[in-house]
Amino acid sequence: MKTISMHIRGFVLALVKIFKSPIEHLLNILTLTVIIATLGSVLVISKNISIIQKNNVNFPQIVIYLKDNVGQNGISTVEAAINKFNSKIIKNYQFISKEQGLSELQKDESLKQIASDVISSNNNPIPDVLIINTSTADNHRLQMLAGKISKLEMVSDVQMDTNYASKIENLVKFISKISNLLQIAFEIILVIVIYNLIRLQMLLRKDEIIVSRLIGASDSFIMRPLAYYAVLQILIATAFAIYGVNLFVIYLNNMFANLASLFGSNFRLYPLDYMQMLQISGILIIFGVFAVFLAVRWVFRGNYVA
Amino acid sequence: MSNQMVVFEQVYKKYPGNITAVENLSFNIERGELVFLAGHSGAGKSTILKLIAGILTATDGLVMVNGIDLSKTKQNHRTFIRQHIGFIFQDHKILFDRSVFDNVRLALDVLGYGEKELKNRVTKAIASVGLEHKIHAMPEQLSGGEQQRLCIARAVVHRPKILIADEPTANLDRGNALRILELFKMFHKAGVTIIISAHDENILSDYGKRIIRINQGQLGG
Ligand SMILES: Nc1ncnc2c1ncn2[C@@H]1O[C@H](COP(=O)(O)OP(=O)(O)OP(=O)(O)O)[C@@H](O)[C@H]1O
Ligand SMILES: [Mg+2]
Repeated sequence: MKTISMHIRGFVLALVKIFKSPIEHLLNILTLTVIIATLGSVLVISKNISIIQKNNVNFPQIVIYLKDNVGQNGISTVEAAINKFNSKIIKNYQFISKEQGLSELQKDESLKQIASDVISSNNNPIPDVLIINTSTADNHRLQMLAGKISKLEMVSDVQMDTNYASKIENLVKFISKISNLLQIAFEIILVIVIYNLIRLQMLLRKDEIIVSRLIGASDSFIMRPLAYYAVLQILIATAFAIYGVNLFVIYLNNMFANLASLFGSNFRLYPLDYMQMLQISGILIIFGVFAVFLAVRWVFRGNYVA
Repeated sequence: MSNQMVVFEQVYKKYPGNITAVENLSFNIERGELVFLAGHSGAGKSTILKLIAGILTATDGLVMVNGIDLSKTKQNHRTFIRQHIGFIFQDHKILFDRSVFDNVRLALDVLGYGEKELKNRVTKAIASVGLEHKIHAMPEQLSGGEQQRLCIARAVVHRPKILIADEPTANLDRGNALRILELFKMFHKAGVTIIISAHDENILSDYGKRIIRINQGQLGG
């Protein structure tokens, strides 16, 4: 009970302090807000990129041309073999018989003539085809699968266009790497800023800290109000930052909506969700307390009594 | 439990730069005793008092306070030992950004007292040094003697076993100095072990209490 009331008192004191000289603290909060907002934007970007990747990218198809006259048995054998691979990257497959292929051709105005020629000569040159829809853009895994398929007896040829997919995949990987690096960079900047903030606070309260120390204050007694102060500032700044980022996303989506009516796309950005907001606040608070700890250690080592 | 509150055995204290402030010093102070620590300026009085309070650690020798060997305790533990000591600093260490009440309350805040008990004790401590009419005053509105009283109130508010006063009568006229010493006598009667340093012995001789004389960090003089 004693500790709870101590925590409450600590928070109230920190709040009172911020409200007593709001201008001074507003500057700190603004700095933190800008950093956290940038961090939030990076998160929004990387989140949306992974959503785009999941939903909108057409993963490559593997087109399997079967040998001439494999017959119904041969087709079943190939299908069974593919099922046996039980590969996670096979979404589904679809068989297109040579007859189906031909009638597809006939539907096409420009190819109609050729198709009817073929029919009249009674010698359909179109092979039986199996098309596999995959669920990845990972070039390496696709190549492995294609390799395995091409070794099947009934298969004459395997084709696949991985180029487009792997380009997108690489781009996404590149962007998410950069966004990870940016995240780390901003987290480091945040620790430094908070560290400095706390050091400044400690210098401003140097006399009080020295006296407290001399009359028996523990490390945690000195750290607690600084930690409350830091956590409170981070919470306020995070709230501002998340609100700002999500407002900006809404603004951008309105803009996209106008563009969409021109280009017929329904692209939209997803804002930060509650889990992410909680995550950001949690991580930042941990970093903040860590920075307080560092600052207190550092200042004690230099200037203060045993 | 031993009858000695403070034991110094062949204690040395060197400051950086090879300055020897205390040299081969041995003495005892009994539980409940009131002693004076006398010596000229620079003799090492403040250094000795800080060694007792665990604010400084001895370079060599044994410093025991209330049965605890301070040379063997870690920094964090020495901090807790200070919670049982009241220290009146030579340079006062008053916080001028807060009232008399808030200066005194710090000593209880450090110990984690609840608000009600804290108010009660702080008010009593301030009254015990005769400052009740200045309880909400700011320190700069106090005279020298009143500032000294504030320091005493802060040092006794948590009811320590040992009260250490570093030159509490310096800069005070004789009348004020005697009134301050009367206060210490009152706490002494309540059973507190009290150690008071002074460079002016005139005022001490009337008291009939033991005087430990220090000269250049050693006994004697
Ligand atoms: N932090 C320090 N660093 C180096 N030397 C110090 C330090 N503190 C004190 N000294 C030296 O140690 C010696 C004893 O100092 P101390 O403060 O204990 O004397 P004192 O008896 O309290 O003097 P005063 O009556 O003037 O307060 C002096 O020579 C002083 O210069
Ligand atoms: Mg001194």
